[in-house]
Amino acid sequence: MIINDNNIEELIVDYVDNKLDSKSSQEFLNYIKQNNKYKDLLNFYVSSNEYTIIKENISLNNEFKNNLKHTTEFDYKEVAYYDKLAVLVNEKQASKKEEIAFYKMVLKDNNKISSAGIYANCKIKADRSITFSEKNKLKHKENNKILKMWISIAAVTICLLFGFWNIIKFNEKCFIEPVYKSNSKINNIREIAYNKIEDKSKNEIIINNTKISTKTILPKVKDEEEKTINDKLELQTQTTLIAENTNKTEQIIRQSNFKIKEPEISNLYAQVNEQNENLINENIDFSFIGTEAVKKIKEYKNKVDLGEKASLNPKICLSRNEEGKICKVGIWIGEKQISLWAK
Amino acid sequence: MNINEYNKCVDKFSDQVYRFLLKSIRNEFEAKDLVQDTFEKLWIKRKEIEMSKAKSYIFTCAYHEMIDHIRKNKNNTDLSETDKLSQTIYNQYSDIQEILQLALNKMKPEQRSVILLRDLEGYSYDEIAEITGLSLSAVKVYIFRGRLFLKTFLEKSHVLSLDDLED
Repeated sequence: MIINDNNIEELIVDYVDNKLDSKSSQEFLNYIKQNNKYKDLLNFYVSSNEYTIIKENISLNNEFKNNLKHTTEFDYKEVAYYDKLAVLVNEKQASKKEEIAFYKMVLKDNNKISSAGIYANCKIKADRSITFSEKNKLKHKENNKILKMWISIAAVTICLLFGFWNIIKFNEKCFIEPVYKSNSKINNIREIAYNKIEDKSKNEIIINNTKISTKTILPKVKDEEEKTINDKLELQTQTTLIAENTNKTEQIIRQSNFKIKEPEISNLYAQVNEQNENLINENIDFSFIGTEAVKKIKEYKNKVDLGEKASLNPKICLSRNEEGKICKVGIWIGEKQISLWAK
Repeated sequence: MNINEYNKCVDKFSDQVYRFLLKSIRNEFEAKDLVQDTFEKLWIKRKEIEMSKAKSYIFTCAYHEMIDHIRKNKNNTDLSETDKLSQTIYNQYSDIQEILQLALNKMKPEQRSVILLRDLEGYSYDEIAEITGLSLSAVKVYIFRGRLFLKTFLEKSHVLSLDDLED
């Protein structure tokens, strides 16, 4: 045996484990004695060997390992006819002839009864207690497309209705306030003849050095404003009907769509100037009415389709307060009214 | 297959697939992952798959996912540890199904799957061949050899007595 630095440690371990034969042990010990550097190493191993070491039962382990090994190393070529039949019968693949042959073999030999029983027990059974706990993670929520479609249609419809309603409301705001026939403040109506003239005045809206604001009165606000006028200002309304107020015109206005035509606007100018002339003695510059009225009427005309055939004769009425000053100028177009208020 | 049918498949087959995969790979978390992967594939392909063929598709997917998974992790498996564990269990348990599980662990993945599909789900040889992609004769051979192996393993384990058989 050749002993050198490469295999000395291996030999020490074998020596400690008593795996070296007597000849090898003698050689090993001689080598150790000749090399002092390994003496301590040997002492270490020998001292370690003094402790109690539980050694494995090699024969028992080998037997167990062999048992396991044999089960995996199966020579299928040497399978007996009985085994073939047993498998086929258990798999329900055997013909009647094979089945009869199998049971005959089993009945003849008692050992084959237990063997057949083992075959019958070779089936893997499902453990029903084992379940997949995360089913909800796998599932997908159902998207109800029809429901979604109806919701979207409803939403769009609501949006459209809201849009139309807003447009209608906006247009209503643009409408001129209707004048009620039962208005008690309308009195002293008189008819005045007038001529058509052109209004080229660009004067500011001033009455008795007071700026005038224009606004459209909403139906709800109108009542309040009328009440305020009655309670606080105690208006004495002097209304002057300037326009031609024929029954025909009124019927047309009420029964059909109407349209303000240029002649009517010019007609209005004429009325305003007529009024101006009448009010000269009161030192009131009333020329603003023409400008504002035309502006309002044009707005009105632009926003509402009044039809083509209908015509309109605008009217102007003045409202005076207790002191006799003009506080409101109303322009009627059919049943609608534009009001110009003194601030 | 619509969403409703897909959800029914989850309810109906997820337990079975999970048991099949768990028996095959013996790892709860990996089996759950594979079940999820399988149903993810089913979800993607749901429009092409009829409800009647869903189970077959699910098991085919699960089988191939499992084989891929085993091949990927083949190098990572510490065989010595598995053997030690098997021996311990072998010495401790006497339940037939547990012994059979040990025997299954010693089979090749393909053979194990064939036996499990046959026993757990009751698939015919043809259906197993379709699911696994093996030929019909290969399936027959795998099952025959598997049965012999299981029987031999049970005999060697000495856990079966005549009393057990009578039960």
